Amino acid sequence: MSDRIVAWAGGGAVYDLNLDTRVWTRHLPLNAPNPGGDPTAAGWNGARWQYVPSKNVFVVVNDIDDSTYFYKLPKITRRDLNLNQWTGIKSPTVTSSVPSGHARTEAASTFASHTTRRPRLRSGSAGTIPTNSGQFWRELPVGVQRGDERLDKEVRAMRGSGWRHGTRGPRRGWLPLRLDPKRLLAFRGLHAECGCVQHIRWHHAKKTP
Amino acid sequence: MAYLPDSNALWVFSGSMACPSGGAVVDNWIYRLSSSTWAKKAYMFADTTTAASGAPISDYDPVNKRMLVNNYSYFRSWSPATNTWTALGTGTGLSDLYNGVYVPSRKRLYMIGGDGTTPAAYMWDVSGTAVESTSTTYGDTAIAKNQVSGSRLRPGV
Repeated sequence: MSDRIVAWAGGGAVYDLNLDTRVWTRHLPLNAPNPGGDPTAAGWNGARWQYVPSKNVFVVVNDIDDSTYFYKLPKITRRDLNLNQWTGIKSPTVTSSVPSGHARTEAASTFASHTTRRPRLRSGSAGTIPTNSGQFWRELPVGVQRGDERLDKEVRAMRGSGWRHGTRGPRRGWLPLRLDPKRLLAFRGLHAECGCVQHIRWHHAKKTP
Repeated sequence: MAYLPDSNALWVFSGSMACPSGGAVVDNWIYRLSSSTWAKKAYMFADTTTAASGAPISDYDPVNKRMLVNNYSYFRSWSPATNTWTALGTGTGLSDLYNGVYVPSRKRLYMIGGDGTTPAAYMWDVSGTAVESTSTTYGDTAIAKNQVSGSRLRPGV
């Protein structure tokens, strides 16, 4: 992928500019956290939007008392799933007043981690794997990503039901379709027996209380 | 304002003082994160009465380790290592409604933002004589006309 200029003006949407084609593309976030900001407030967003090369993420800090928001732009790889999403991390605790010309805060290690509690699968609501037809859903615990053993188990179950899985060509394997706003993984499968193209979409189970 | 990775410092230039009437200043400061100390650096002009833009367009050039600064009528670079300014050309006349994004692979400083109506990206070629050019952008251009957007470069990955 070539160099991109990535812009933000408050809210959840992020834009990138292809420098070769000079075309802007808007990316709507796939998750709920919104860094806020007033897109009509004069001249305040410029320096709040920064890029962290070592992490390939963008960061927004609107206020020292607000969360710090990180954003990852989608990129074209098969292993990246937590894309196009904002993540809020609590701001650090200020340990002293800020004397003139000398700001002091606790070290970055005092940032509270933004963790997601991993729930168990809800029983009874997951769709069953059809043998030759049907679009259906199966739920995975929050946090499951590609390469996760639990996802591999799902794939093995699909294979056992007569669904092909592979990466050798568009008509022979599973094709990633899109990332759903509800944080879904979407794949298209080709049935081994009749050749019909069907869909399976994995989505994350809701959190248990 | 920009982060200077080679100095591990925050660069702050011009801006308005915290007073009811505002008013641009010409100060040039860095804040060293390793020592938590501020240091005042050289003015862009020896004549400090020269008018300054309240919000110049700037970005760091990591190849030549310098700040590129479009201060309304002046386009100059500042070296953190030598604390010296170098004239690069005449400024674009653009000011606080734009963000500066330097793209090393193209040796251009892009100025993104706008007047609220024109989805243009101004480009300065800093490889030689500074030459201003304007390119119309396409697609979802709402951001290109936004006067308060922030823009950063994500290098090709």
